[in-house]
Amino acid sequence: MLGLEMVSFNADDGYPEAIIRSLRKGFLKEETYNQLKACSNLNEFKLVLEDTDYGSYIVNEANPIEIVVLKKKCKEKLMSEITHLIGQSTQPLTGFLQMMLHGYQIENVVGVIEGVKNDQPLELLLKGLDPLGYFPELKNIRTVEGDDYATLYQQVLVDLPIGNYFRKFLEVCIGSIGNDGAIKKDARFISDLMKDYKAEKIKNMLKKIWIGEFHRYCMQLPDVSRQVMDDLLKFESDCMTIQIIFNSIDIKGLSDARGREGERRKYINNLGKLFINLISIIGYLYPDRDRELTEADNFDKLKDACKGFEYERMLQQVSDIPSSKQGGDFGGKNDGGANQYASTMSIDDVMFTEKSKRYSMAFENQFHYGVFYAYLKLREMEIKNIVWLAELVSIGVPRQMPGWSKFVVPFKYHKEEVQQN
Amino acid sequence: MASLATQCYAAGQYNYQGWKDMFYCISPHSWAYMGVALSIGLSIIGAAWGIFITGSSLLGSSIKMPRIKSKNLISVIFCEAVAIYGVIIAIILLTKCENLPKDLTPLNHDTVNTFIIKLIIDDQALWSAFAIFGAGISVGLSNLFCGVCVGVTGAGCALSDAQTPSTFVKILIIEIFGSALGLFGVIIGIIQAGKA
Repeated sequence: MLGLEMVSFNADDGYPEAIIRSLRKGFLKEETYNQLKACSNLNEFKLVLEDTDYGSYIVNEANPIEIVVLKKKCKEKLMSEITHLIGQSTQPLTGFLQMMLHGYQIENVVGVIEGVKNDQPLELLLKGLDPLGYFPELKNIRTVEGDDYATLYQQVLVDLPIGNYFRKFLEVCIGSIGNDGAIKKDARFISDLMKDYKAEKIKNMLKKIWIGEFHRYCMQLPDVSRQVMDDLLKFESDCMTIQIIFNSIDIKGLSDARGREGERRKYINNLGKLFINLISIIGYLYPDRDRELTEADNFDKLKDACKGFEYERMLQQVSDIPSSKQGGDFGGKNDGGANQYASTMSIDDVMFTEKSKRYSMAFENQFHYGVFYAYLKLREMEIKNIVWLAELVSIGVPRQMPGWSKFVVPFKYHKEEVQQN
Repeated sequence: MASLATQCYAAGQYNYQGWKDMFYCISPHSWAYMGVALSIGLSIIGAAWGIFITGSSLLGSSIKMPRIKSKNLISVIFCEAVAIYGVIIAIILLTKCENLPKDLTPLNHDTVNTFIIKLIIDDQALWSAFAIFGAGISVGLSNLFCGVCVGVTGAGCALSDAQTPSTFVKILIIEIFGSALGLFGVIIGIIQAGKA
């Protein structure tokens, strides 16, 4: 309403927003992490966690708790919070929250299809799913037998909450295959197509479509929500792009000229003129740095492509650069034992830290939807931290290893920056 | 000072002068009571709006942090005060309305055009009526925005108190400044209606 979120936002969304903001209090503090680090076995680990918000979810588990179970229980807690919010909200927030979960649902559906393909029992598959992406209709996938993907698509996938993405996916694929211009869409064609694509690829494509759709949905929201979500999604999309290019530098098929133009593009969010009409492309790097990024086949070129953006600063922190790694492998650079314990920042660590900072910043603004998304992402990171520490504890890694400090506490950077100024 | 209407009458021009005549044709009583209605009505819209902005945030926050609920009622009370300002001014204005002459019969019965006749009420009554109307608008609008302001600050207060209890007092001071805005409107309103 005329950009007056301050006045009108609370009419519909004040209550869920306040809930999510008070839930923020439940994020693990640095002290808790230190306590977790000090644990000598998983029983102690669980005992520390029982004093936190996760307590009621893990308290009844048998000792010693399995890490898989721990992860699942933590995610179930997060999911129950999100479903509670969905129940307490009205449109357009409900749609926003549901759309937020679609990414996890895509992973689950593709996982189940893949499992069914390999004749695994459905009950087992459903148990192993990510609780964040669970929805009751998943059980319907059972009805499919053999290689009948056309039926699978026509009868099951279309009815799912995420059916829209599958429809778009098929449109995109058929559009890209049928070069004669005519888009054929008969059942036989679908089953050929589903057989051709690997599960991982389908998942990537679907997620790409999902991010585009999510972004489009956010663009219809009121001003503040739109700006915050626009920034978060663009940043995330750029990070993913850079990470994919970074990881593909050492892979032959992806970093030579043909791979760069063809195969690699398909994985990247904000590159890819291939499907420009059907998938909206988001990211700050598009379209300005499109050509530079496509041509990047080593680390320096990638850094140049990001020049002027904050990604350049992020890339400078990365210490394990792919090309120098090769030197190390062939004995050209022998660090010996001394450097072994020095903390290294991989690109994943850098991105993780930056993202955590971004999401924490989303809480600085009031009256917008970005907090819901940021909360989900920060909690997911927290669960990753917990699982990481649990694994270190269970293996009994020596204390001086750099891995012990590889977790990110949210809302910390801001405080540090404020103190510096 | 002679009003436009009196000037017209003195000049013997009884006819329609322009759209501005419309305002003179409305009874002074109508203006005065409209002022009262605006002062109380807008103030209460402001107060109610503020309370719902604060209230929904307070409600959501107090689910996880029940300790904030009684403390943050202060924000709601600040919003409530805005409505009280409106009520006070409305009562003051109502007493002023009673000073208006009850009997507004035309002074001159000879005139053909009854509308023009109505204009010839005594100037003091007309002046008082407009003063009351103006006071009502000043108080109403200033309290409307004051209520929204206090409400938004109160919502922030509830949320931040849930996170960090030490911020409560600091935001409360800002909230007090916000609620002073309504008081400015009240003071001006009283001065405006003073001579009515």
